[in-house]
Amino acid sequence: MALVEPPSRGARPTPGHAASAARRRSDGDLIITGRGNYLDDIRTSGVTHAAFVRSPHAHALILSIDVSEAQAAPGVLRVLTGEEAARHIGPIPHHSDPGDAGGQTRRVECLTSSEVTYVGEPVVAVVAEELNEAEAAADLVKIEYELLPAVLDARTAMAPDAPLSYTAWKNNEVQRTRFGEGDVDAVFASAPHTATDWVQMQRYQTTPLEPRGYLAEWPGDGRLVLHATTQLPHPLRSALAGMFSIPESDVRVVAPRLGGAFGHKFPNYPEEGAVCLLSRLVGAPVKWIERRQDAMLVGAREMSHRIGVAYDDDGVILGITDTIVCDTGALGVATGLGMTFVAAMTFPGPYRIRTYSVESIAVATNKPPWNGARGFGKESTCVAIERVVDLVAQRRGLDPALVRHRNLIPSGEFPYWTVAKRIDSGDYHTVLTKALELSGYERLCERRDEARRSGRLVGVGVAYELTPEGADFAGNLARGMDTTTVRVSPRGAVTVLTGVTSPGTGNETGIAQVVAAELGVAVGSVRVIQGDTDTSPHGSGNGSSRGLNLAGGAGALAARDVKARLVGDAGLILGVPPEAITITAGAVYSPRGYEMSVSDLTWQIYTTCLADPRISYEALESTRTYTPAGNLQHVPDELGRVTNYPTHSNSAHVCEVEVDAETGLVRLLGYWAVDDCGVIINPLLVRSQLLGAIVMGIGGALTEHSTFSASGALTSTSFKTYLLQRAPDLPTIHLAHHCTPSPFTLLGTKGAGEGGLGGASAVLNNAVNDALSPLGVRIHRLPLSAPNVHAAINGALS
Amino acid sequence: MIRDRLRYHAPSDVKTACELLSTLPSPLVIGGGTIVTPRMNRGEQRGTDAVHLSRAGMDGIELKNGKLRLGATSTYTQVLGSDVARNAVPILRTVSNGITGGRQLRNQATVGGAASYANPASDMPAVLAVLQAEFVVANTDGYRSIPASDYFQGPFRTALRPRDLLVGMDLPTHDLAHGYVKFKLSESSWPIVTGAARIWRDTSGRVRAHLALGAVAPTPVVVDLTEFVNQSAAQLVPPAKEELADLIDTRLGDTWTDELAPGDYRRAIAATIGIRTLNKLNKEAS
Repeated sequence: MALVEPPSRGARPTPGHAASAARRRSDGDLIITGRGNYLDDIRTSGVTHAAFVRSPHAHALILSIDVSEAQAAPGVLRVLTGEEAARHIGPIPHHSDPGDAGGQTRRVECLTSSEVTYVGEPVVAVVAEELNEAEAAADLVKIEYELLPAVLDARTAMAPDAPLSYTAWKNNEVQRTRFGEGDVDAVFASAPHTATDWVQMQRYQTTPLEPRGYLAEWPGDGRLVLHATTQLPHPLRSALAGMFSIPESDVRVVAPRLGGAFGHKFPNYPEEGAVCLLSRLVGAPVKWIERRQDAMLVGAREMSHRIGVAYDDDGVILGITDTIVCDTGALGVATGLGMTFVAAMTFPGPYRIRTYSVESIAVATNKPPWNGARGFGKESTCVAIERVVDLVAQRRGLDPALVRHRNLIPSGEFPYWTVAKRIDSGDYHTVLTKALELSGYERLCERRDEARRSGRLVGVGVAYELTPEGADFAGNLARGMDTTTVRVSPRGAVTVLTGVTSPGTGNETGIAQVVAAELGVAVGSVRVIQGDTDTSPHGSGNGSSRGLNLAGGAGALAARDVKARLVGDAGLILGVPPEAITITAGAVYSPRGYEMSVSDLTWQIYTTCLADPRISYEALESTRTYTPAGNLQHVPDELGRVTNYPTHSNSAHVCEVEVDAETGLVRLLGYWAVDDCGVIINPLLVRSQLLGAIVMGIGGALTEHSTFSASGALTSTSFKTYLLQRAPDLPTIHLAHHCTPSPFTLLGTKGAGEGGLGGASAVLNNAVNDALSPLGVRIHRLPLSAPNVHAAINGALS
Repeated sequence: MIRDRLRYHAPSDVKTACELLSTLPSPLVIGGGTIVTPRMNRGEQRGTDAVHLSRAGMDGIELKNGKLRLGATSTYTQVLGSDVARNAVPILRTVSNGITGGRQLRNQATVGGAASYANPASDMPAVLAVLQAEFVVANTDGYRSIPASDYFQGPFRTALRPRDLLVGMDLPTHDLAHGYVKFKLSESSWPIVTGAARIWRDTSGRVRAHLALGAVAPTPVVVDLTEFVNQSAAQLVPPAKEELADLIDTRLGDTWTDELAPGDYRRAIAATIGIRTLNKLNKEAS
């Protein structure tokens, strides 16, 4: 029997866009030669420095704070407690308040004044002339605490008699999310086979190379100017305006070049408001740069899945259930909680499973809060679903790739509805087939079997990832639309202003490519400006792989407006019908041939309009807002269906591993992946995103782990105790692409910032379990670190 | 950020350095600075004065009285570049090549610094233990020597007294063979277990073999394997893994646990790493 069934092919895609080109990112040379400036490179005269006193306890009441010694320390300008801060500014707004959805909520201040709920929570801020003075003075603040019982894991927190993580609550549950279709009980009762499994994803985070930082000043005109390493400058501006009770027009937020973000730089951190307040109180610019040990506090992804599956003799999955328990740490006000929703919403992944029931339970504990993290819960779901698909294959004695082929959504069924999403397009069978071919899957399996005969624990993994992208959830400011201005100046230079920001990925190069292609000018003549709320249109920044979909879409629309003006005016000037004008590569052509450059044309427009009544005096610019509205549905239809993600990238992964049976160490021998993120504007940017996401997923599967002491203090505080993947850890990662354009986005793009992460974690998990199968061992707990795998081999983990 | 306003001292010789250490209120000794500086940045180590040893003439690598005197401030790069070290104590080259952190760290970090910090989960303790290094220590009273068996006293704890200065290490030369294995979780990981082995002919002509395991316990665990040496062939016949595990267990008290791995795990794989180290030794010998 062939291991792989032939795919059922859908309509052939029409990949590509006029802008598509493998163009190196515009600031790449600057960055790689160390000349790219980041927040900490900003030089401001008279700048002062902030430091924070953080709670050493996981849960305690603050009885007293003595700042007298700190206040008298050399260089200290101000010591700020939570009590004083609360007299000046309001609480930090929730990105999405669970209280609005019937859950438990809490008020979060920039400095806590009464009850600390995790080790590392900011309690007092100090500002001094020099950073070392601020940090030395912070050590002098004396705080008296009354210790309270702390709860450090979700299972314990859910027990009826568990200590409360926050004393005002009735229990530790924040909220529940449920999705489902069909009669699960009936399907499981009648199915030929059922099975259960569990998967525990560990807490780990995103570790951008550049940590957070803020530089606040009030220049004297009553305005607040905040340079911030933020992915969402406009929403941050609105949050600060609310906290300070000032108009948004009195707040300018500037996001400089970011050295990575991955969700870590979503706003609503305590330090944002605190730094701004300190600056106002001392009348000087105040800077704060996050230390690595502070950055490591931010959590994500700690989810456990208890999953059930019903299937038939052929490995066709009839139904699936999952209870996801999410240890969210202390309830924060940033975006983290949303991941508990999205993890459930992603079910049942890329598979045609019509009966399912998923419940996600967000549980607060006394660990530091989550923020959003690349993958945003989808990666956890991918790992869980893919584990169960392998379980079905194992139970039925079928090849895992074959079972996937039997369950993937057929290409002819897109757009494909589930109760919580409408998947826009896909050609999953082809993507999987390509990945199997790319990897030489059958040969890999033969090689594995040969190795097993000599006693080696070699495993081959297969996984398929669905990555919903372009999120739009009403009720917050990170929305699914964005705005772009295209402005052409008298000498033909093109400026693009957009509400989309770059987390350091180079999306500005892709946006410039789109606008240049639409206008018919060289990419190098287009400058993209992002991140300054004084200049860029209101927008939702960076997240959910929205850059090219939205800034590119809005930019294309705006560029088309401007192009129409240029063509129209050129026709009038040249005395030919506009439809006879062609603009390409910065040159204007009529049927007579080359007429003038675009810069000559724009100069004529600017200098002769009004005087030449044929030429409009309207500015050569357009601002357009774009959203893939055709695939967003907030109001449930007659079947109760909604969709908050307009596009769905997807990818297939294959890997080969070897487990050292004596030590448990996993060695990744080979890796292959094929992705479909729709139309690709810049293959270099997509490739770099996919590689980065895969490596992040491999790290999550194998080594990355935020660990805590028994008293709740983070112990993985540096890159010696939190292990990232380095180049020597990795084999060559072989990539290929497939393209099914999204029918709902202007450019056919789907988003390429997150895809690959979940697939990588899932395929590693499957491969390691495959490697361990001759021993009759299954491992459920990530990371698949040597101690964990060794313990599983030796039966210490159940 | 370093909180203290440190006074900086760069003594030009050992005597001056010792005088500084004896008189300054709270000196911080800096060899390469790769351990102390980050710790000061994190506020984990405080002091009044930084005593930087880079100009104190303590980075020599030379043969002295039949032993290799390895200056305490010798960097790993200096070790790698030293013909004397390569010929006399080749295990130094093996271990220096694998120091995590790449060229930047090897250019800066010093062997004496690692020996002074005594992190159980680091490369040098097991190597220095298996070599039976003599630690040359100076203070204002003069010089003294501490054998490796007494030098490592616990996690981050040595026989150095507060005003002592580690000047160098005297190492035996011309072993018959050595083996070194570092087991870690990933490229950036601290060692989880290290194995260092040597086989040598002592002054009586007897061929001896030792294995030291690092990071399993707070201090290196040294196992004498001379009974497994075929004296006529001057060759080690490694014990079975289970037998080695028993030998290790008899010398093992508390295990070492840190953020990366529990002690039980280290104990469980110690014999495996030990056998791999001995196999390396034999491979080199052959």
